Amino acid sequence: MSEQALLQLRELRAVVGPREQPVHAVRGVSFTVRRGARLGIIGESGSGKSMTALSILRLLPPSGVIRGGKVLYDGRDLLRLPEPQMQRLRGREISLIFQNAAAALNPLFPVGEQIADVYRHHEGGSPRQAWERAVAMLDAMGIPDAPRRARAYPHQYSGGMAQRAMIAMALICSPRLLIADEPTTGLDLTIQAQVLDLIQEQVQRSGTSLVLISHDIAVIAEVCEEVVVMYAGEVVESGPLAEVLRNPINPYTRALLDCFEPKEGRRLPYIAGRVPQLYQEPKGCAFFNRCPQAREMCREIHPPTVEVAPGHRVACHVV
Amino acid sequence: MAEVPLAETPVVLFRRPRWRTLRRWLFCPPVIILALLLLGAVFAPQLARYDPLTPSPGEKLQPPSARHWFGTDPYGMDIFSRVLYATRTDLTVAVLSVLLGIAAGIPLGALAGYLGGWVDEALTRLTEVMQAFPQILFAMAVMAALGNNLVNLVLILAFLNVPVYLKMVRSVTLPLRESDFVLAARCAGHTTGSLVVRHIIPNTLVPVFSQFSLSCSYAVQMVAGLSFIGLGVKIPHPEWGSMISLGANYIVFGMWWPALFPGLATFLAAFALHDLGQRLRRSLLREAEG
Repeated sequence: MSEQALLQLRELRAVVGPREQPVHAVRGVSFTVRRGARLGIIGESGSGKSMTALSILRLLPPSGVIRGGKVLYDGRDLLRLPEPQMQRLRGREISLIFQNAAAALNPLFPVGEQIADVYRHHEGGSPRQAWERAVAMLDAMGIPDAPRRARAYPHQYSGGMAQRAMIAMALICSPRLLIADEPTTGLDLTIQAQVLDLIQEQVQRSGTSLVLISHDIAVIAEVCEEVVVMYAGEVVESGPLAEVLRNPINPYTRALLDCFEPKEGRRLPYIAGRVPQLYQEPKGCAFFNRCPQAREMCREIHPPTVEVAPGHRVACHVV
Repeated sequence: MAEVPLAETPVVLFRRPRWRTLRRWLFCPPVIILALLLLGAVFAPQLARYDPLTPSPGEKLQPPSARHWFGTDPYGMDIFSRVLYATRTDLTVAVLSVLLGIAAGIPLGALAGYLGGWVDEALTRLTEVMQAFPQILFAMAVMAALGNNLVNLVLILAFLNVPVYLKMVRSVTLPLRESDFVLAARCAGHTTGSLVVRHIIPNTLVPVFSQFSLSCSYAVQMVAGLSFIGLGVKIPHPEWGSMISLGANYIVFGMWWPALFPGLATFLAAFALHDLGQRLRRSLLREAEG
């Protein structure tokens, strides 16, 4: 592709779990994040969204191994970068925020100190400068009375405030890419909206690219311009948000969208069955056992990815 | 966002204690005993009425009296003065060795727990070998090889304390390694070293606190025990274990005082430290349960 691309995943594969029986969590994921773009990844729990995000930063849990593929950031393959360089990249060029921010802060130190710590770690400067920068950052995140709150400990923060603090920590070094893994899960609906607005606003102002991971299509529809639908560790459909919403092709995407647009008078729709346990990679399509349109070939043959419209790709035999 | 009030602080480590809690701790028996022992050690020169090292051949083995409160030993040295001065030796050696053991055990345990893999495997096996060895035998062997003096005694006891803290810190580190804030710290670009120092070790200190007192109690017994068999402290130097050993020969002749008073001091110190450690541990457990 082009200089437009900030991050490109190519056939990324990763497994987690015991060596004797690993789970194939990420199975050949490819997508591209353009500079300044906002891309959403959607899928059920266990579809490999978080594992994909962690693989990008090479922060899989100890039992996780990246089995192949490329993560091209600015043309460099992150999977081949030496660890010290990777450490300089994390938090400075690429930041990650995740669910349950309250647990993501060390309980023993004031919040401001932890944020300042990240700044000093990457940018140096005096502790005082870093502290002031951290307070300014908390203030920009809409935390009232930031100079005082910066001295408070994590348990004195509410969930929404903790998430704001985490966003402050992620953005303090002005990264070029922010990966937000379910940043609003577990927050009140009103707080969710505020936090989403905040992420959107900050990202837009600094020109940071965003990868937003969610199981909630509403969240992604509000923030993103492109969407990647994942199922069982694979990308099953991807493309511009409007196009995918208007014209979903993969039966999984359709089922997922149906769940969020219940028709009058019907019971809340859901997709019957569960995401398969990926101890073995399925031979054919992973959605086969739950798919309303499954045919005989779906069981045996892995569906190829086809471009059905400019930028709109689908991996399904139904196309 | 609406004004969210700062919550009450339920955290254990840095809470400013309420007066009631403080009073309960200040006036519990082990703290009083330890305070008295410490005062005795600090003000030994003022309290002692005789020099602890000066023998007085004319006053051998005097029973307790107004002149010699705890009596005198076979060299005619005043036992009360010696017991006071010995507090300095015993407590210093015990506390110093435990502190040294902690200083080595914490970073090693944190590394073993955090890094896992062969580092963990090697350190864990090493501690198991160390702990499988009889401690007194080990101390005797090392003293025989390296020289029988106080410095070596401190180093040996410190060495024996390392596995205790290594294992403890390792076990606390294991769940921390999986915790979200450690992942967040890695996301922020921390190196292994800075992560362990900044985020892991501070979160492992709570159990170390209660173990500290227990270890000191054990160390006091070890110092006295090893000196009793003639290791570490040599006789004129005031030390409880060597005093007991000196006095033990005279018990059969009905002269109980040269052995009893240093023995009592050893017992009090070991008991107070142990009891304090138990109380701390119970209190921390209660805190953890809420």
